[in-house]
Amino acid sequence: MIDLSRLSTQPVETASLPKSQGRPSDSLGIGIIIGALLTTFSIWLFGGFNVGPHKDGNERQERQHSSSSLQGGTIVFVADTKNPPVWQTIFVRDMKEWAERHGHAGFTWLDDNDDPNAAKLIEAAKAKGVDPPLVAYAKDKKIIRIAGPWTDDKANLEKILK
Amino acid sequence: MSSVPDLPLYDLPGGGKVSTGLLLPAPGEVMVMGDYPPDNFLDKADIKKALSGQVYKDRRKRYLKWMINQSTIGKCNTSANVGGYYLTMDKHGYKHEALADNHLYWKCNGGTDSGTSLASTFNEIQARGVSRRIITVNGQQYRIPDLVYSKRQLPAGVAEAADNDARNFIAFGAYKVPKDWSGFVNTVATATARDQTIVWAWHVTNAGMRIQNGYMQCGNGPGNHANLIQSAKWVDAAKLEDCVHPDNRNSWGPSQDPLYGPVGTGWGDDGHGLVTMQDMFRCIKYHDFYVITGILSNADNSPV
Repeated sequence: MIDLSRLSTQPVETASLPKSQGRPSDSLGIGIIIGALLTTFSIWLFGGFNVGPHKDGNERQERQHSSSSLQGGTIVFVADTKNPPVWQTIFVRDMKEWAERHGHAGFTWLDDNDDPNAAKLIEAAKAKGVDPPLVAYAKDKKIIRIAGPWTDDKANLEKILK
Repeated sequence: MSSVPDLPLYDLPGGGKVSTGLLLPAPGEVMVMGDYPPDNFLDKADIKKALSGQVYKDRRKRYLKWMINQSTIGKCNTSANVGGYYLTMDKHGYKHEALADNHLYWKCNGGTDSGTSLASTFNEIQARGVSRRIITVNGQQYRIPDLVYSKRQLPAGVAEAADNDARNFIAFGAYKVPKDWSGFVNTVATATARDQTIVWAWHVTNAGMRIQNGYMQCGNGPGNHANLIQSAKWVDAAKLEDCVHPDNRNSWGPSQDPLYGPVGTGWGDDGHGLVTMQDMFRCIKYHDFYVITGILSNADNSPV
């Protein structure tokens, strides 16, 4: 369970991300989000921009970076779990696999409607102008960072995970 | 442990015997839940996106480690529900806990190994939950034997400790699968695309012990065995019902660890078999199938 006492008393840092693009039902906005999300995540995951002889070196460097600074916590995704758009299901599959491969304790998907663990998190995020679906990062069962919707690039992801 | 004589046993092709154990609901026995809302249905393009490729094979591989073997007792129903609990716990990032499906079984079967209905099992897990396989009894760790079907078979204090532990693993968010063909197809397709599991019933005969070209052989009958749909294979076709081939997770092994039942024998493709929508639909008029959309765990196994 989230340590709500800590969450409520400790300032929650918000990464400098764009404000929420709205609920998944906002089809145009979410379409853009999905495209950006899947594209950037795939590129990031598979090194799509790396070509030629530098590719292996860059991938190795990324793995080293991942294994040193991006470890040990849990990525928390807050969104509708009962009626999610299909991109969220695919996203959860990919992120779960990614989190395990990169040495995180896990990737969890909390329901924004009725999961008590999500409620306080949403409240804190809304105070920062962020609505679900949102991504946060927890360590030792404590939320240590709340980010915006997962629309951004690798640099922003690293901000979340550091 | 022995089964009561009227619960049939079947021979697995590779050796070993297994039971079934699904009963028809008693008159007036109902599950209080709504149908899967039509507004939640995904369109065909999205379902294809979610199920194409190796998705169902990836899920088979990921979850083989928790494959249950109910062996010779009639706990199919509770094994299916516990299987659904496992997959949903994992999806939501909870730490895995081996659960005692037979705890749920002895709570519903009246003390005999005579099977249970889907409704009785569902209502029990909603009300009182299911305990872990390994529990603490009087300060000592105790592993509940997997072939126990009555609390009278247990040492003093174990059943009470199991009941207390069960409060940690209680309740599903669930929807019924509609009984009309169109609603059924859309629900099964949508749920599998969302990695939501479905508890369902089929009728086992001797032919059902083998799969044919990867597909189950479902018998004619009202349904005597409960299982779990854990994914689906996508095949391009004109109609949605021909595109989505649900993937069934049985409870006849091969278990990978004795915590989940006797190891060494198994059914189908590592415990799995595909089923057509038409075959899956056969028994729905006799039983209420349901989609598990979430779980409530009070145990300290949440990642945050």
